[in-house]
Amino acid sequence: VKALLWTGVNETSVADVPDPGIQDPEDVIVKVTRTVTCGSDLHLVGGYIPFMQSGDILGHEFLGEVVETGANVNRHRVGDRVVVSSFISCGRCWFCRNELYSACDNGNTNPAITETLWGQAPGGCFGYSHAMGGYQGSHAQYIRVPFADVGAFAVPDDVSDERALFASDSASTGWMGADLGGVKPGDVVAVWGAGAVGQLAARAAMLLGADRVVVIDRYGYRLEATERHVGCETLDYERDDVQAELLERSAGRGPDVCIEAVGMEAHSSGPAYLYDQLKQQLRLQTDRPTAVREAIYACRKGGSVFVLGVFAGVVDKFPLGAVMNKGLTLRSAQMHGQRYIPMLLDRMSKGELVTEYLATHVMPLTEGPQGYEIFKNKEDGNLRTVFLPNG
Amino acid sequence: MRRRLATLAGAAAVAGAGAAPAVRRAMRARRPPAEDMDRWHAVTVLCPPKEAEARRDTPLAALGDAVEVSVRQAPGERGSEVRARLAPAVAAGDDAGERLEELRTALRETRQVLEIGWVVNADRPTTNRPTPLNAPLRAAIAHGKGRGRP
Repeated sequence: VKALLWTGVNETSVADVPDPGIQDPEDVIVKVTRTVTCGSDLHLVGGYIPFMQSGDILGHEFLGEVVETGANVNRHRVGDRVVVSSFISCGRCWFCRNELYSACDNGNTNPAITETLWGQAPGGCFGYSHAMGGYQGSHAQYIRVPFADVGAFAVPDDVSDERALFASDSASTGWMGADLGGVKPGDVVAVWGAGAVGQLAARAAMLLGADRVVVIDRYGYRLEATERHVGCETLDYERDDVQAELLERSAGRGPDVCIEAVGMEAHSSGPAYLYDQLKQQLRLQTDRPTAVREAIYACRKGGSVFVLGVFAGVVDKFPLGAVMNKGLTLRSAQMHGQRYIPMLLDRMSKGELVTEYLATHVMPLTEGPQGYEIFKNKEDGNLRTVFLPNG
Repeated sequence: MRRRLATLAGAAAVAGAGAAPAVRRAMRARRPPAEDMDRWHAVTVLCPPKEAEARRDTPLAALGDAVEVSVRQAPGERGSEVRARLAPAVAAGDDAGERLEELRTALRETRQVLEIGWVVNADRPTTNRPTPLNAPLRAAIAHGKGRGRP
């Protein structure tokens, strides 16, 4: 089968790889019809998460058709159209039973790596390095899906492939930020980052009853897409005074919930960015936490900050004093897709959650390297690049 | 153990190209500190203690007399606490480091057998290839279940 491989720092290529096969009784093999780039892939491509081997298949957000089932698969049959959670979770451990699916005890096949780095190992993830289990990614014509009864979900007939694709990860992640961030009716919510996850976190906040939602970014086309498709307010941090605007828009309180959807390669317009960039390049810190700092500073007393962006290691100048003295709740997680995908598909069916506009660039998998370049460089109004591995 | 963890915390602090040598050093096979040999290593398994004790087809049971095993009820409806440590004679042996890795691997895999029914593996065959740059990572993967913190 053809697949898009990581072959080195900032290098990808398309090549033929061995066909995946059923290994365990709850596996299915999925013929991938759509698979999409994610901002967190860029951390892998750029070598910021140094646990990739040359030849590993990228991709974790996908949809396809079941073409083979293992002996113990009960919920799926050959021919089913399914969207698959990016995290691989067993469904039986204490964490899965408590809907903390990305913390699954059994999904990660190399737990010693992340246990050593972080104290405990999260679950496994498709195409997200050997630190997350070394599973093959979805940028391929076919993929093995372990624990398919837990992580694969039939797509309702009235939800298009183009829309359902984003339930796999970005819509689930965004919803989790608003849900576990504790968004309630009447809240003011600020979201840092107008990529797909940030936009869908904003949409989730609106659907959960937030009174006012403000998304912050620096790319005009992403802010325009947010205003047009999500229907919330925006701020351009290169033009607007974000802290002053958020105070004014929340009548001096600060946002009740602040959602960070940027991650370890954050930018900013001030000297802090130069400081963070220098320290990161010198390997004195692994991640640039600019947006997290801003979210903590902006958040109202007793409010909630949810970190959705992917971070790998340690950061500098973390405003712990603000967290403590303002009585903030700081939460985070990799995405618990299995917890949200059925509800999201239902909302997609009702038209409450529209996502297909995010696929600004759709191309064959053979153009994968070019698709990532456009995505990485935010060229041509790119929000997400979707690949069609099987034409 | 604390020293090795500290080393790897340092590895996290220098992720990127700088992380590879630190990970390589930390993951290199060597005899663990004496307190690790005596320590009970444990996993919590979401199944009743009777079930955990009764299963005889687990990787932990396969280690036989090389290990001491203890099972007890976990608090808060978390299932069973399955503990194991090397038998004193094994812990005193020259290959104790390798045997400790076997024990840790067996604990993780036993949890999988009890909770799921089989041992979970990544995709085979792999699509990647060995290079000098990923040699440290491959070494870490080789110890991906035997090291860490169980």
